[in-house]
Formats: sequence, C-alpha cells, structure tokens
Amino acid sequence: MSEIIIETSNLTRKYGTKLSVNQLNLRVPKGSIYGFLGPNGAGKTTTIRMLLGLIRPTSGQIRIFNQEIAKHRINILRRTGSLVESPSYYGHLTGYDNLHVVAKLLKVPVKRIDEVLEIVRLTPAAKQTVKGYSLGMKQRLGIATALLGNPDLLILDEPTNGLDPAGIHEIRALIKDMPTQHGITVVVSSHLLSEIDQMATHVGIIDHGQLLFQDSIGKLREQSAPLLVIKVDKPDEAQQWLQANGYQVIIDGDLLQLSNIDVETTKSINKQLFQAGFSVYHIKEHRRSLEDIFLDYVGKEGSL
Amino acid sequence: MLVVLIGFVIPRNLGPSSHEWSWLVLYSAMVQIYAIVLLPMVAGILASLCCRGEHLGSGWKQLLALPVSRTVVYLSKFFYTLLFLALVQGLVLVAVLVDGFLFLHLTAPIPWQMLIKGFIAGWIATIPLAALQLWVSTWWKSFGAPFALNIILTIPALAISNSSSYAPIYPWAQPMLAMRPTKNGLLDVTPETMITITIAGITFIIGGWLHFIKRDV
Repeated sequence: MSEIIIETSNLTRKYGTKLSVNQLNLRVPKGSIYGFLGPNGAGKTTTIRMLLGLIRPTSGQIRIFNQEIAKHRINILRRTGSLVESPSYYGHLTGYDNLHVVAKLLKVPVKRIDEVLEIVRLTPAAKQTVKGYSLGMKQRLGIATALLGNPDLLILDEPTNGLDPAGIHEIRALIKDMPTQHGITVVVSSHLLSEIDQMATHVGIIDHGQLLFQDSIGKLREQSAPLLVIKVDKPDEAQQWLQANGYQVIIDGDLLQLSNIDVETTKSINKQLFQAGFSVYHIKEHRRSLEDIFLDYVGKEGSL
Repeated sequence: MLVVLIGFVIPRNLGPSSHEWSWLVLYSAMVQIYAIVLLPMVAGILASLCCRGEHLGSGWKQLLALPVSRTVVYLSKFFYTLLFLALVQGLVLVAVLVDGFLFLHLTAPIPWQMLIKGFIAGWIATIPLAALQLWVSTWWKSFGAPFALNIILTIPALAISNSSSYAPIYPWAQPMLAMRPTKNGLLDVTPETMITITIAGITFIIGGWLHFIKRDV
C-alpha cells in the first residue's frame, strides 16, 4: 500500500439536524487522481471545504500529509493548491497580475508565474485583462493559481462545471498530467461519472453524505463484468438444475443470471439445458456500464 | 468625493468675515452635517468596499484556502478601512481650508490646533463604527444590508447627539461629539465619550474578529 495523502476518520458535518457529511473515511493515496463522485447535494463540496479548513467538522478528523488539519492548517495549505467552484478574479487586472497578487501572498518567486501560465497554456493571454477571458480560460487561470505554490496536492471542486467540450477536454488533459509530470496528487470532484472515468485512478462515491464505494477505478470496472441472461420455460427448475451442475445462478423474475461467463461456457450451458429438456427462448450477454453501477450505488433518483 | 463637495456647499450663507471666530464658525457648520451623517456612512461604505471583492464569486473561499491566517486577513481589512477613513478626514480638512480661502476669503489665522485635533478625534471616534461595519460586511453577502443597518443606527444619532445624557454613550453620536469644538479633555472629548469609544471599539473589533476566524466559509 502506498503512502496516504488524505485520510479522514469518521468525518461528519451537520447543518442543524441535517447530516450533510456522515462518517466519511476517505483514503487518498499518493500520486493518484482521486475522483470524488456523487450527485448534486451529496456532500462533495462540504467535504472539500472541510479538507481546506474553510469549515470545521462537527466531529471526526482530517489528516493531510500526516498532519492534523485542526492544528497545522497553514502548513497543509502551503502544500495544497485548490480551486473551489468558479474562481473569482480582479476583472480589471490581467491574468498575469492576478497571479502576481497570489504569488505575493504565497511568497513564491515571480518567475513561477510564467511557469504556471505555460503549464495551463495561457502565456499568450497573460497580458489581457481577465474581463475578456472565456469561462475555460478563467478556469485554467484558476488551475494556474492553484499550481503557483508548487503544491503536492491539488483539490479541484467541479473544475469542468459549465465548460464546453473543448474546455472540458483541455482541463482533463491538464489534470491527467499532474501526477506523472509534476508529482502532484489530485482530488477532483464531479457529478459526472464519465468525467471521472476518463481521468481518475481512484474513485470515491458519495451520496447523502455517506461514502458508498472507495477503491481503484479498476475495482469499479470489475463490477461491470458481463452477465449472461437466459430466458427458459421453467426458470425455477432450470436454476436448480444449473446449480446442481456447479453454476452460480441468480433468478430475476423469469430470467436467469449468471456472472463471469465466457463464450465457450455459454455454448455448453445452452446445449446442456436443451439436453436436460428445458426450452431456451432467449440467451444474451448483458454488459453493465459504469453508469449502471453508479446508479446502483446512488439509487435511481440520483441526478446525472 | 461627495463629502468634499457637500463641504463646499453648506457654509456659503454663513457670512464671510475676517473675525477671529470665522474659522470656528465655518468648521462647526461643516462638521455639523459631516460628522453626524456623512462620516458614519462613509465608514460603513469603506468597510463594505473592503469586502466587496471577496463577496463576488467565491473570493472568500479562494482567499482563505491560501496559507494565510484569518486573523491577518481580518486585521488587514480593518487597517485599510481605517486608512481610507483617515484619507477622507484629510480630504475634508482640505475642503475646510479651500472653502475658507477661496470662497469665503477668510483672513484670520488658521486655527491649526483646533482643526487637526478635531479631525484626529473624529477619526478615532469613528473606529468603533468602522469595526462594527466591517463585522457585518464580512458576515453579510449583500452590499446593501450593512449599509441599511448603518443608516438605521445613524439616524437616531441626529436626535441623540443633542441629548447630554445619552449622546456620550451612543457610538453613532461619537464622531459628532469628538469633532465638535470644545475645550475639554484629551483630544477635545469628554471622558464619557472616550470610555464609550474604547469599550465599543474593543467590543466590535474582538466580536468581528472572533466571528470571522470561527465562521464557515
């Protein structure tokens, strides 16, 4: 197991009597792109605000870089870059000047400004005032701001919200480069699974303040292994017969479902059922998309 | 700017004179309206302006997610509010002088001591107000709400400042009392006024600061 960058234990936040975040145990490994996934209002932003020390947890603890945030907030923030919602700027200043303000606060050398502008490919627009920036450029400037202090950890809350496909693509490419090119661990929240699927190495799914799944994206994909769905005339008997022959079968209405089946097995099951006197009406492979799995976790009412 | 302009207009009808009291008359007339209405409002507006950038978009989140302590952020805002307030006081002082020389052609010597004392005392007396305004300005997202509160609290000062028993304990009447030309005490204010300013000032500064470092962003 690699080093853990963010670790929360039983992190809880109440607003009045409503539990916004409930007993959250996050584990973000070093060098990962951690996709923090959940429908709107699931508690993602609340969690991120707690990670950045903007609000206090009702109970539970947060450790970042192995330090307690309640005690070492400034130390942790010095190594963390963040982008929360749509960033605001001084519209009358240029992109460069906006970065200069933050660079002064962070006490980083001025030449770092050029470096981060280069990373987000804003160098040509550096001398324009931010008023004239497109949403995508503003978002990139936000990422540049987050990168200014040479962070080890980047926390991005819905960085692609409101962007057009080209903008989304650019941001995604930027995020993907972070661990490999700059050694930065990234936490990125989104309500879109497809988003996370295309860049994350690890996933945490949250809904109603609770963490429903947390592991590598590979583990999530395993759950999308295909199912073999068979429709026969006597499903109950067929299920018993198949189980007696050593197959794992679940029955769903009048359909039989078998998991982890390859083509050869499918052929032989079909043949055996026929020989045993069952009429097979229909046999097909059903592949569940990640979307289906996600919806299973958050319930169908979850907005996507 | 508005303050300075009004400063020009008000005392025109007070009768030019080269009498040694003429500066005092001019000063009193200008300060009358300025200290009681405009100065408290300006204090509120400046405090709100200092927080405006952060209320737009998600500025507070962005700022406070940087490795800066909240105490430093709050105190800097407070410092700048007071700095600009001092600047406004300076401008009004200039307005009094310009008015005296250019429009009323006063020939009497300028009572520097009285003027400077008055403006410094007025500035100090406005500190509690500014502190309260900064508190609510960092707290409330809207630009209008702190302004409305400010006006609601300022209007009674018009009446209260004439009452000798309540005026010294009502913070919004303090700038008026402090800037009114009298011969009492340190920087021309009575001890009651001084105590009110100190207590109200400390309460509002500490209240606003504690609230700011503890609150949700």
